[in-house]
Amino acid sequence: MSQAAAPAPGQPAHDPSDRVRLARVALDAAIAVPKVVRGEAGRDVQRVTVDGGERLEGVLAIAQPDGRYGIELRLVAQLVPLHALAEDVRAKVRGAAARAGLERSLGEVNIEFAGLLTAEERAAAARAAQATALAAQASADRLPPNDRGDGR
Amino acid sequence: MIPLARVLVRLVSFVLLVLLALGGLALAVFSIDAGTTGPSLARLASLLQLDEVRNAVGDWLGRMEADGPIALIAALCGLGAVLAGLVLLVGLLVPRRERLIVVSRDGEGELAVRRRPLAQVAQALAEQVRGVTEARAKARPGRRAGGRLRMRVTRGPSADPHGVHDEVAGRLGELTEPLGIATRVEVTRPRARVE
Repeated sequence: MSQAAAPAPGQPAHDPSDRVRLARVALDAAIAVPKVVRGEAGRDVQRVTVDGGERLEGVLAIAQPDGRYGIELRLVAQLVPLHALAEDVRAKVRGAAARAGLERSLGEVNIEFAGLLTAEERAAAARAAQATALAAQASADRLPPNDRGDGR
Repeated sequence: MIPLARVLVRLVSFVLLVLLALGGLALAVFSIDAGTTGPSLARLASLLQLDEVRNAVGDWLGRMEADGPIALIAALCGLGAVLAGLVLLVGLLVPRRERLIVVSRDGEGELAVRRRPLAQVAQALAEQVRGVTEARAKARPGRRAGGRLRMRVTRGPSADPHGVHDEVAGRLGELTEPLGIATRVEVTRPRARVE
């Protein structure tokens, strides 16, 4: 009987299933599309996949009757023509799945736009994120050296 | 109907939990002593006048068995209780479902948009039109695909209503037509303001 090999350096300690790998590949590909802002879990019916303790928000891979996995993406995007954006996302997801050797496992790709940001909203969101980052940085700078947790 | 049932379920369960907590607290307090005075269960029964309640309820139940107005009231109350129970069950058991506007559906998958962001974007577009002072949009999904967008805009006192209507409809068309969403625009006059 063969024993499981120890993970190589730089490889994840767990061995995710095809379903989880597909979910991660699909979410990464979708978020990489220009005009897609982020994935969103949602409130009632959550699109979240857990990969070794990490929450992948905005994606769910569901087994289909034909043995493949359907992908459900919930995305926040910029205000652009949605058909074209959805086609772009689907193409990128299929391409990424093929590169990962998962094209035979990939079924339908359902896309839901949970939010559409206008240019003003996008700018406001960017300013808010920048302000939060600056506040966090200032807070870290104010802490005495012993409280920073770096052992110095 | 179902959102109302959910609100009722929340309200009733909250009220029942508060009553249960208060009842439990009262029982705990009145279990301290065992006599008929002080914080005892006998004293609690006396405070609640349970003897009189028993007599009143027994009398009422006795009259309810006979024909008459009380029996009719009881039957109506029973029917109301059954209906209220059914409403509560619906609110409790019917699963939550997000109402999405399905834009397209084919072998590749489905493309859908949530109602609120679509309405917000439509409002933002309408408010950019010259002469519009306020815009309110409501999006509803269609039975199979597409949906309806109802936009109500308030125009400024000097704005031409037809011009505002056409401009708003044109801007919304760029958003809604590719998505198969029917748009209806209403232009209203500004409300009189007393200062």
